[in-house]
Amino acid sequence: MQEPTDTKGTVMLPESGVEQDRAPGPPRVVGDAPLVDEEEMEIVRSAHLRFKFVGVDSEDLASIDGLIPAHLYPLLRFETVRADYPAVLTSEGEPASLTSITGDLIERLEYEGDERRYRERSILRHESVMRRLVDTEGPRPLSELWNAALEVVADELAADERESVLDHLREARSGLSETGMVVPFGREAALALLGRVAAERAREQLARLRSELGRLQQQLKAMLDVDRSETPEAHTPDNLAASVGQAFSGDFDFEALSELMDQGPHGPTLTTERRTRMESILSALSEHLGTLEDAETRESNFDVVSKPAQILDRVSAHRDRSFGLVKAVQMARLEASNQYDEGQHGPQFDAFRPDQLSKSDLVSLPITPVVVNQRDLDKVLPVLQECLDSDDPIKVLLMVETPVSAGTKAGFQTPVGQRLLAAGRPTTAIFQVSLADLKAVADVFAQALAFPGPAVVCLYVGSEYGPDSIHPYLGAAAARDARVFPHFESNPGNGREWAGRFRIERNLDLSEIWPISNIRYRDHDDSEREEPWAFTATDLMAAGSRFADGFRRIPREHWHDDLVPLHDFLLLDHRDGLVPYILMVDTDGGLYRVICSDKIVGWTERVGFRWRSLQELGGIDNSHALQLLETEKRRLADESRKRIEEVEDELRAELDQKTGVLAEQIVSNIAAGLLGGGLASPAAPPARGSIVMPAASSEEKAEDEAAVPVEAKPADEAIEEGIDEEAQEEGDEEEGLSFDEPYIETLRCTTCDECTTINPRLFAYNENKQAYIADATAGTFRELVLAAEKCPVKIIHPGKPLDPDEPHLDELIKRAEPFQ
Amino acid sequence: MAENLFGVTAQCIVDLKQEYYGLDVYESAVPRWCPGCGDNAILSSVQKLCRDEQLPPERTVFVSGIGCSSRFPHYMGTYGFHGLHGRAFPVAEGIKLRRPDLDVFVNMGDGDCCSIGTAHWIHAIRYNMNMVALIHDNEIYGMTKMQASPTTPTGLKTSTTPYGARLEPLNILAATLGVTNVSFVANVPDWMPEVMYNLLRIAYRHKGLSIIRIVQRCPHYLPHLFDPIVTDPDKSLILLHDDGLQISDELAKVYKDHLVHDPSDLHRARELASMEDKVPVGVLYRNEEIPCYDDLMRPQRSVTDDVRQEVLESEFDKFAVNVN
Repeated sequence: MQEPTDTKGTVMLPESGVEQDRAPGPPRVVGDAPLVDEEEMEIVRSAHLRFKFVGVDSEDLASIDGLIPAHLYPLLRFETVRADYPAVLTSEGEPASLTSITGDLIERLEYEGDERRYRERSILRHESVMRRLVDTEGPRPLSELWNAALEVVADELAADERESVLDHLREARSGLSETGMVVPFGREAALALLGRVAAERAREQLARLRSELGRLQQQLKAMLDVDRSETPEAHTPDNLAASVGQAFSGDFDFEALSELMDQGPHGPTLTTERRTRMESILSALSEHLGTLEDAETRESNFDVVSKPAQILDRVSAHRDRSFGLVKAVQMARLEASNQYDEGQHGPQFDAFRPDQLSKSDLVSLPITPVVVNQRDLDKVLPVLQECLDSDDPIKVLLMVETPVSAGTKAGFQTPVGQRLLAAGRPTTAIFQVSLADLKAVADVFAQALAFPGPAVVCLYVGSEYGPDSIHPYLGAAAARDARVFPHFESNPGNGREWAGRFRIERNLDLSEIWPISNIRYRDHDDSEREEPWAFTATDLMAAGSRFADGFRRIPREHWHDDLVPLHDFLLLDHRDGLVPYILMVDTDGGLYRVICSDKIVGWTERVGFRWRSLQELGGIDNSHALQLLETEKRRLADESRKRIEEVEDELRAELDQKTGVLAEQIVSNIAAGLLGGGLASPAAPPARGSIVMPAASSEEKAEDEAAVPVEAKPADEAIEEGIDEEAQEEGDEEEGLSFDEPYIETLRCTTCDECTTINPRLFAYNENKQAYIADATAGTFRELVLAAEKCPVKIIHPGKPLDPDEPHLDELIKRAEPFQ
Repeated sequence: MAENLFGVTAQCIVDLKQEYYGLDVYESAVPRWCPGCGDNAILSSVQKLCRDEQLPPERTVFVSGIGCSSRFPHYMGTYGFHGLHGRAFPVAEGIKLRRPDLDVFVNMGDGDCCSIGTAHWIHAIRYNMNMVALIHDNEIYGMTKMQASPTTPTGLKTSTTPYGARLEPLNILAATLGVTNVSFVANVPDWMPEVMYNLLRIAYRHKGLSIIRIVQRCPHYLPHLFDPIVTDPDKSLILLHDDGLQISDELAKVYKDHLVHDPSDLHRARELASMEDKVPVGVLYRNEEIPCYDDLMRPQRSVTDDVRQEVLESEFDKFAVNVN
């Protein structure tokens, strides 16, 4: 056997770190062939059923330690998975992911072919290192992370390729325009993202408010200035001189002007009380404007609350802040429009209290969201519910760490978002979202903050997973896709009815109970297989260690016909004697069947039912709609049937009538023939199936004749014309080409080496090893002609000679003619 | 079907250990074929296929017999086996049977495959193992100085037929299509690089033995043999189908005689293979339902490292000396 030649130019990875770079291949079924002894197999079967019913172990049942669900296995080396992770919180605009940023860099590469691929690999490798660094070393600015990863890449590469890869990365770095903080998965990322969205929202609100306050301030100031200008103090020569300014002070006689103005009929119109009140309002507005500027520059601070009183304090503090502002603005508006009536409005404003603020008053100032951890939920839930019921526009971010809880007596709790939804608060916006979907989270935050009422965002941050199991991102994505923590948005701001307010579109396979995806594996005989397989709540439970008691791995020799894939098992009405299983894989790639207990199955079914309810609310296979549809179909079918019967009856009657008339006519014709003496033969009946047209009138005939072309062209001529037109078009296309320059029809080159042997500087191969003119000045016209003659597929066109002094040109031009 | 479970598609999983193989990876020694030889075109297309399919060089094998075309493995930067005259198929079958994970290609000339190797050719078709076989058909023995091969046209004067070949040439396509279990047959001349590449890719992705007969020019001994076909595009009948060959608009303008041919139609494929006035170009026949011998004979027991070690140990034990 020949040895493979060197791999010059390829991006070789160092031996160190091979394991972590290698994406796992398909898992393979391991173990010996199933038992053939029926008695032995019967014992095995009984053991499996015992475990299923009551969780009793037997010898052949092994724990699932070290196994992960088969769907998650290909993503085991998470740093090589280009998921929507980690988040890059850019200084402006929507949050991006590291993957999308490096994807843009690759997209912008100005290289083609193999060179592009080499550079692409360098960038992907660097991206993978950045992902690893963020996971292990925490958040850091993108530019800093890039440089840190560069050092790691340089350390990991072999010396002979280090320079080229680093060159690729340095060049790519120059195209990196984004700045921002790269944050690992988890609560901090969620809070940072919320901070960005809340700050953006606050900026918009504060800008509006500042504009409104500024306008009112200007109006009131102008009113006071005008009024002040009418007072005797304003008319003193000194004040008049000061109002004109120094530039023109010599041009005026301010003494005379003062006297003149004092004689006028005008005087101040504002009462002292109103002036004092307006000055007081102005002062309040200035104070609020100052506060707004402070708020705009201050970073959002989300203290996690764990006590009911903290929530009440937050609500009360926001109310107090809003109260002063709203009061000042309302008074200013009345003053500015000269509608303030001390007798009417004075007592009203004196009696005005913070608890009288309307919903719209409360949303004028930015609201700082309240962050609650799942573990504190039981403590704060009653107060939270009270706040939600009061319709105060409180915004709550609920950080969910364990979407499934096995601690309760009921077995497994419904996620809090779905519980709130079930409580039926039509004026509360409720969102449930997994942090694995970055854009969805940002969108949900923005919706919650914009909604003019209470809003709760239940966010699964996947923190129950960690270095010993699957990546937290996958945990959060898996919880969403296993329907355990499905995405939903119930936003009354989008409509009062379910159809308008409720959305579940961000989930996968909407019309299915469980999403289905293919699993690739190698069977016991090493053949590669691919099967559609559902990802269920059971798979999610098997991914963590909390429910490990409900699962047992079974060796291949104990596989029997009563083992049924879980997703099929759940569809069965009769399950007696059957044991459901899922597929799990160990870290070496061994694929196993894992049976699960009834408790796990029961809980999975409940998750499925809950998802079904969400489907109905979201309008997916809504049972009411389906029933209505069925009724309507039946009604339409009945109507159609009746209509068909009516049409048939009508046609039958018409046929009978026409048959009768025809029969009479025939009889009368025969009778006329017999009685009239002249044997006029009856008109021949029309041929079966033919259509008898009435005779055309003379005018119509003339028209018809006129419509006939005077000289119809034969079909073949028409085709030829078509071809001529086509050729003409082709000719037009080629008209712009110049044949003075030599050229090669590269796509038709067969890489025969004839031309490159003649002059390798004149002729060269492209990246597909097909010839082109590399440098027309690097050879002679003679060489071009010679190559054209030798080219076996005649694709070299010599053009015209570049050098008019080349010897024997006349002869060469003649030889070149057939190839032009 | 959820293509992006967990927000991740199959394309999102980057195997960084998996190198990128550029065209240069598949280039080895400088080809010593004559300038203008059709083998150059075949080599170039095969190298492009390897690059575009990213075939790992260490898991790709080219096997050949004897003849000009059988120099092929030397010019590929992969593993190769330059074997015995007419015996490329048995060697390739052995490799594939033992190492089904390898991509195996077979290169043979018309003399190599259809004369001394005929028995192996027939049975390779019947075995239908998952490989690609290229028959470089230049209708002459070139390497041994122009003797008549089984496909040499009637009347052609060669060193073994100085008064002209007497026999009708063997029709490789028709003969292949007549053998039990045939599963893929295509035909292409070497001067249509785009078609050759497309057919190679279809053949590579076909499950079973893919036989491509390549009409190949020998510029040294028969420089004008194929001139009538090379110079007249109308002599080529391009077989097009959604499940077969598709060509670019540019090529379609040059080769204007097209025929939509369903590659699952064996009877029609045999008719096309027997055409005398034109050269059919494209996939004549394709059937993935034919069982593959390598699947039928797949070992029931996985060959794990433990199994390998066990076998090796038992072999070594035969040479061990019992010191007790």
